[in-house]
Amino acid sequence: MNEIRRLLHDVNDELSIAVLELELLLEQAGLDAATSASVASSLDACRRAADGLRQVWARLGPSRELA
Amino acid sequence: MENDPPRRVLVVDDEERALRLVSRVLGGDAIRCRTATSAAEAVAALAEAPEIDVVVSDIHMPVTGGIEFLGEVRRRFADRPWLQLILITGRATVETAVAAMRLDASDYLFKPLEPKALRESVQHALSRADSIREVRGTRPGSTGAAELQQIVDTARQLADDLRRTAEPDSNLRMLGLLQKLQEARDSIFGEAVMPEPAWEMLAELMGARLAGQQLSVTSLALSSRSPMTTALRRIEDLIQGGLAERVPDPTDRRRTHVELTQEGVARMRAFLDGFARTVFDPK
Repeated sequence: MNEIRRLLHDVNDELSIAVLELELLLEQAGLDAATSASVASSLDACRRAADGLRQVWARLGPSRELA
Repeated sequence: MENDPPRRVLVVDDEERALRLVSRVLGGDAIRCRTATSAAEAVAALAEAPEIDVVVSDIHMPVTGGIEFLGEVRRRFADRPWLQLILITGRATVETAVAAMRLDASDYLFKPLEPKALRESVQHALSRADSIREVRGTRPGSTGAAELQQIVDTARQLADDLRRTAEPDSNLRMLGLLQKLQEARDSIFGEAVMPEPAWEMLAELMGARLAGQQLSVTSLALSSRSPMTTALRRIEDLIQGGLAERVPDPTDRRRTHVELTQEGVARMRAFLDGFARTVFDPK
């Protein structure tokens, strides 16, 4: 179980890096509308993936998870 | 201010890509980021750079974890009460939340990190560091009289703030003033005066209500500045006392919000109105 948790942490770390990269890209001036939409859509996908990850974590426990 | 030197922030993470990105998010004219990929490297950086005001550290690190590292920072640099700690974690657990409270962390952020939240958190931490440095800045060689002068100066500042707050009927402003009083108290007395968790949470709940925001159990507990177990007990006391209630989050059934009851709102309003009258018409 600990190995699974470690892997989940690693996946979350990678997602965090992707989100930061994409957010910084979005903050740059000069992106055309199509590129901006594409980056925003990728960000949205990353956030949904992170949300899924949190659900896996919640199912793994421990029961002392915060509300 | 235009000519102020850049503020120093130390970012600690074993992942170099994360360091690079966080530095880019925070970097600018006003902030200079220093980075470290391990606890040992970070401690060495702090030892040679007392101008560092904020440490932003990942909790999940090999060899020496973030909590252990930050505990070491608090012990080794106890003479730098202005040093602010921001913890970053992938997942909230009771253990890390309690550790954050014990370390008097300025904030506790979750991955994936959002640049806006990170910048706001660091700015808030820098402001806290400023306040503490201001009060303690003349500390070398200070006497009791000098410390008293600091308290008097802080009180004068507060009195000015009170005068500027002309409308005694604003509950939100009164809450802001109470928070400033508390910050002044904390900066002068430090840990010698313990927080009052039930009161801190009542004020937080009232602030959230006035701002039209909702608070999760976790956020509320963290705002109490007390150990998590104590905070959760005090939340139960508030609920049992009819001042607060749990409200399920309709968008996430795993999450529960806490709100003031009508009785809680009425009593807070009565308190804040009374406070305003005392401040503005102290007869």
